[in-house]
Amino acid sequence: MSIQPRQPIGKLLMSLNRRILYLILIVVSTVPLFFQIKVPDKPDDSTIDMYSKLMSLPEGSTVLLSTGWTYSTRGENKGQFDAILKILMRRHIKAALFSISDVTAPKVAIEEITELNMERQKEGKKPYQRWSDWVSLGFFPNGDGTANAMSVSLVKAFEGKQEVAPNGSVENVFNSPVLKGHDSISSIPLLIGVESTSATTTYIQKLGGKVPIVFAVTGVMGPEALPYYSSGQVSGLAIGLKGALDLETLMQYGINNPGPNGVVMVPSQHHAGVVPGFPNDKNYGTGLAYFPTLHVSLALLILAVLVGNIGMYMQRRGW
Amino acid sequence: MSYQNYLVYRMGAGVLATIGFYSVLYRENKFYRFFEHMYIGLAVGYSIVALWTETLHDLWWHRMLGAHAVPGANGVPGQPATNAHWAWMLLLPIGLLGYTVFNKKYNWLSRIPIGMIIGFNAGQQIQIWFNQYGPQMKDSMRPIFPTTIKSFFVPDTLHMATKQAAEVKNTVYASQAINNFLFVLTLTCVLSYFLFSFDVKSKVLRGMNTLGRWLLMVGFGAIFGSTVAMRFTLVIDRMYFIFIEFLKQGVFHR
Repeated sequence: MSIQPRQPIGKLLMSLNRRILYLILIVVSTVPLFFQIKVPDKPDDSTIDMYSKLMSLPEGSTVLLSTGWTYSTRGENKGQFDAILKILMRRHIKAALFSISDVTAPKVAIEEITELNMERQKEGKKPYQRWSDWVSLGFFPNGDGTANAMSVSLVKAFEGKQEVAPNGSVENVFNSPVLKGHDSISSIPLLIGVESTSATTTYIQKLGGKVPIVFAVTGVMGPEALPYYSSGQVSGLAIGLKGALDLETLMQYGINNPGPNGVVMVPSQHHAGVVPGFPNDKNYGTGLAYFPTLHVSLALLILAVLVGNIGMYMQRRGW
Repeated sequence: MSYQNYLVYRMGAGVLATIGFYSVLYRENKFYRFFEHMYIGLAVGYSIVALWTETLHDLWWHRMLGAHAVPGANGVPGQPATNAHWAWMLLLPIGLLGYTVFNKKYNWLSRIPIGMIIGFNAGQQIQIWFNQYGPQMKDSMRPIFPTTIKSFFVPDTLHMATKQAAEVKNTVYASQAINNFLFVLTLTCVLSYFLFSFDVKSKVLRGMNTLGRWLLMVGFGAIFGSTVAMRFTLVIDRMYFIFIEFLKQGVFHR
């Protein structure tokens, strides 16, 4: 029997089977989900501004809600979208839903509203009603043209769009309580974009300065959207999973808002004044559920990078 | 079948598809190919139907044919008749010309709709450019010298009177000035990196050029980090969908 020469450690580390790494990643991305691990969260200024903007909207007003996400970015956008919708629902703010990014996005958004309505009904609250509280304007394939038309006239931009009224008849969306009287973009207090694409840039280019804008974007889109926040082109910005958790935290504690024990959980020097939260409601969702697991996964990544570099160094040295 | 059961079955299909897609991580296999083709088929089918229901019907067909008046009922106001605009019909042949791109003999015709689109967009570029970059250029003009030496950091305004807080807001503190200086330095160095039109001989400019390249790398690194975090979140979401939503809350909680 021949004795196999022992492989150098460097070579062993560099020849680690990628399937083992995938398996470790899946285990690491799953196990923490079963435990309630608390990770402290200090909301970013950009998300604080977004929350305060949403909370300053007059009750009963109508916002334009652009949805550009589907299941491919559900990990980040679902948490953001749910948080925004919960605020709109609780503050009785109406929403006109549309998309210029993805043909399936309005369908995904409608399913999300249905899910949140089921939650509201379980809690004994009035559901967010289609037609009277929200309408779906559908998908617009020519984003540039649509945003351009919106800047001129909402009636022209959404002409021909219909919804089913409570009496069963198919009606023009401008007959609904949501869009009635909103002929011009200037009558809309806020455009909210929950996006995973560069639709954000389209809105800035075509509607910048004509309507206040806030965005909730994926981590990939964050660096592209940040200059818009920094320069004041958007009034608020939630980025990635952290943005989703920030919104949930702000819903729970408010801004500069003393809790029952007198302690301010989210103090902000950036935002003057007190903005209340919704401490008696169910505020946390996927933002809180995923955030600790993300930390564990990132720790694995850092470890893998270290092991890879050490392995490469050792291999070069022949160790 | 109750709605809850329907949701669990529907999620089950989603779980199968997720496992099918992830199975490629082990190796290329027929299970993965099946779900890949199913996904493409569904996406194309959905897009074709949505093209008509969401776009062509409302934005073209409806406008071309007009509508009869609808009387109001049950508190919902009626709507007046709208005229038919037959000129919208002209858009169909113009749009179809785009498909001649697949024919060698007639592909020059596809340039007509493309030219129209380019023409429409080109006319708007000045306004678009300024809307996007104008406020950012204005924001780049930041003060790099402090206006007070009373405090290095910005004082806590939480418990200040409104007038005092406003005064703090209008003052540039040393810590802010340093931040602004770093911003302006980064901006200038990165811009100087893109000076390709002439040979850079000045030592100062070359130094700025190199620093600009390093700062760009730092920026790209931060963007890459953000991208990686996002990809991890997608995996976590799929695992949450399989183990928590489907198994824990769906199958074992019925």
